[in-house]
Amino acid sequence: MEFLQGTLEVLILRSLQAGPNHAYGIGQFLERQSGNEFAVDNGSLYPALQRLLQRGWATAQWKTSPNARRAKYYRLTPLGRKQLVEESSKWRRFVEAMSRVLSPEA
Amino acid sequence: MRQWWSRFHAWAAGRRGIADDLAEEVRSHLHMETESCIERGMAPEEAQAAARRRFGNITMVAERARDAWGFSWLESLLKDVRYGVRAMRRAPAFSAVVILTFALGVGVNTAIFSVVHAVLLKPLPYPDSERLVRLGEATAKADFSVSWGNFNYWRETNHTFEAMAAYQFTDRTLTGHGDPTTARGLAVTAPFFPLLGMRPLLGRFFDQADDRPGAPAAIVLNHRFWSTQLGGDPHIVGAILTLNGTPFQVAGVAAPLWEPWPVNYYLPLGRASGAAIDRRQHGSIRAIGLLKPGVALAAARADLDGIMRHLAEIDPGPENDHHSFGAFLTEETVGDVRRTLLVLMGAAVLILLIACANIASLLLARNTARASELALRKAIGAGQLRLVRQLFTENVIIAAAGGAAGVAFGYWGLRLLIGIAPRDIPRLAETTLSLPVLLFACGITLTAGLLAGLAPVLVAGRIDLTTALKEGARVSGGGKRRQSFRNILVVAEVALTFVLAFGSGLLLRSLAAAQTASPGFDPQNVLSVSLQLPAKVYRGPEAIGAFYAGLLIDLRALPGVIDARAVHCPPPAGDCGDWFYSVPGRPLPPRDDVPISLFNSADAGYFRMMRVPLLQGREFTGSDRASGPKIAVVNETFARAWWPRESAVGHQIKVGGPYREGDLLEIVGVAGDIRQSGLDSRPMPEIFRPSAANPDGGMAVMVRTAADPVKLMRMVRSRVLALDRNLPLRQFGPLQESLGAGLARRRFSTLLLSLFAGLAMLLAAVGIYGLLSYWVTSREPEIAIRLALGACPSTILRWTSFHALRLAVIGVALGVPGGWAAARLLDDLVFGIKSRDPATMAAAALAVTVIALFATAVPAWRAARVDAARRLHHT
Repeated sequence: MEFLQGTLEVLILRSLQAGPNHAYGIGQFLERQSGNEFAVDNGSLYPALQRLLQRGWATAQWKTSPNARRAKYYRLTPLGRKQLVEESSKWRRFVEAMSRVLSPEA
Repeated sequence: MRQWWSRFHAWAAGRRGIADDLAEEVRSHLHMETESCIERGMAPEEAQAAARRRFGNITMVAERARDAWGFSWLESLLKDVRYGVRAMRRAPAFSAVVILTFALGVGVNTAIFSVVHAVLLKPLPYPDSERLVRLGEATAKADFSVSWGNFNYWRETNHTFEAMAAYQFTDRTLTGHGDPTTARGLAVTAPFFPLLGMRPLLGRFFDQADDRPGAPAAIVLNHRFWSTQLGGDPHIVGAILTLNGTPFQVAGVAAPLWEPWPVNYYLPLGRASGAAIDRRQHGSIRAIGLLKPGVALAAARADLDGIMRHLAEIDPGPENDHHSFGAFLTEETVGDVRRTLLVLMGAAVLILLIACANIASLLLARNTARASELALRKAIGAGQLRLVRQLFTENVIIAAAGGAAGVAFGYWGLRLLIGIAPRDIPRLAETTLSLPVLLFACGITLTAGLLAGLAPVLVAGRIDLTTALKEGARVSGGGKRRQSFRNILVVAEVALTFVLAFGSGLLLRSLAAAQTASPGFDPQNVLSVSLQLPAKVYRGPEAIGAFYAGLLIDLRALPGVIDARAVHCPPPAGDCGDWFYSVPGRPLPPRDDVPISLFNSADAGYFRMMRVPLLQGREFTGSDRASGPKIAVVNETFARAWWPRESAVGHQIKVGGPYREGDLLEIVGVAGDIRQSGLDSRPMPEIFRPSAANPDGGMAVMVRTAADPVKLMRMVRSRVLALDRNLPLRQFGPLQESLGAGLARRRFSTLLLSLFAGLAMLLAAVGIYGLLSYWVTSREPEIAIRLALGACPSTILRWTSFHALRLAVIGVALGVPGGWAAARLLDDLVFGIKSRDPATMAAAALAVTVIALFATAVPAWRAARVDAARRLHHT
């Protein structure tokens, strides 16, 4: 399933809520959490990560992973956290509205 | 904002850093992916390959992530610019033609607009110049001077002006500094200087004390007069200058400033006129006023009209109907130059449009030739938008180059323009390529670039991949639509060129008509010299009469002189004075509608000497004296206006009209019209009185010579100076020369418009040539087949020429209404012919068509010489 326009950023923010993570980990997280419904395209993921950095919603830092491999870790900023709250409620309303319209008894 | 900042920061920190960082991130990503695959039991090599497959296109991912940081639009723009410059260099001839065409259009407009800006648009260099108005009195018929009495009432009781000053022209003879010269001066009231923001370079200006009757005679010198005539003496303040025999003490020298009325010196007006109390006593005084901020001109005039009505009640008189006249000084100083300049500006815009059409057509042709290249770029993935942007950038580069060349061209054109323009166009000499002019040049370059570049870009946006690639190999292609679009451009060019050709044809024929127009007299071999006898020396009519009688007798006695007579107002001096009159026995004109005529006085025998035909009655004779009956000779225009069917002789004229004092004159003769204001002026009603009955210190002596009048100039001068060595000779020269000089402005506008029409024809010719040669190239196979099937070359020639002819004829047909409209704008400049002269229109149509056919010659000839065998073989 393809991502809807503008959804990837909020999903990444959500994945970082659990703690700092690297690009590979974020991709894994999204695929797992969506029940393998979302196929994360790196061609979208990487530019989206750059946008988060530019907007100040996340910061990045090189760290050593638990299995002793250097990786670039992304971490939520307070601003990113705020953005996530706003976006989540917006999406929830959107999803509710969609399902109400699409539900059979309508 | 934050986003921009972080992007800029990263950009400044170096793109290499970002690229390296990304590469490492991708590497670590791949490692993790590989490890997870190995964990799932894959062999290492297999796991590595799987990880790469899962990751996707590594280069593309890195590139897209990197692009998020870059100013990609800027970079692709730079790339477009580089590509555009390269494309330009690859076709130097094409680029040169386009840039040159651009430069021509922009240059002509820049030069003309800089003149329009300096003369019409730029405010006068005075403080609050937009609030300065020129004032006078007026009736419904005409505006004229304000009397000293009324001016002072205005100044004291108005509510709408901050300040007011009066001025009056005065010509006085300066003696004691080399040859006596008559210099034009302005008598002004003290506030005149601060109103125009003038500053003294030396000494001081006038104040209230100078401006009062009986004050010591003071004079302020103009900077130019001081530096050229008086040697720029730094100690001149306090020195004495003798004008008309009266000593004036120099009070100051004015710093240079552009003056609306260029004069050599200033005198205090109140000293001479201050004694006048009668408010009906006019003395050619005019006024300028500075409106209070926010006051409209109409309100100010209503204010002054109110004062005039009040004056009419408390001090009634024949001028009770007078009201005020007011016009902004900015408009007043420009006068009728406005029309000429606007016509030239319009013509310049037409040139620009023609240039645009040409460039559009050229670009279109080139893009057609490049169709295969464009199609290829599209095929390998260039987006529609990217392609359009590329073409657009190329056009903008060409436009910028053309605009820059155009400004250089405009600078040179402006120098030329100032060189050939008549001197009397105000503020022309100070015209430069100022900032507003440069902005204008940028503006039109941009507009022209967009206009010319739009069509090819629009067409390119619809490139049909398959056709273009298929047709690309052959030169043809382009399709019917593009061809017809270029046809439209050529038709438009022809139409615009026709309008310009027609306009310049009208002016050329007007100039010819004016040059050969009969001035109403025979100007051949006439020497004219104006004299002004100073009243201080020549007191009373006897002294004046005796001087002129003696001079004329002396001159007539000179060898080579046929006759010599004096007249107060010689042609082409124009209007030396008009006044009211009425015809007794005719319906009484309303107070504010009393007719006006030129008034002049002439010697006995003046009309015979000038060879002016006498249509009725007689001219003045030696027996018409001051003591005799009061008589007049009127001109044909006057006689025809009042007595179209009968003789005017014997009828009477009341000078001053029914409401003013004035003599009753009996008409004794009717003379042919003399064009007093120059060859291209329309005759005005004129009343002549015998100079013996109206002696005037200022007369023009006209000398008819047997041969070249220039040869007699020295003798005439010595005769005048023998009688009075302090008398300056003004406007001294052959009459024919001064008549010709009067046409300077007409010659200027005609020359420029003809030049523009010539440029337009050149551009149109280039445009038609370009179209036709392209048309022939694309039809070569067809021509070859026709030839092979037995058509003779002359048939091909005719076929090609017919194509061009058809476009030219359509263009001319469409241009006719445009010419019609342009003729209305030219109405005031046209002389001697109707502004919708069909002959001129036909000539313009013919000229444009011939030019079109001429431009077709080379391509048509090439078409006729197509080598059928080779061409067919080649295909």
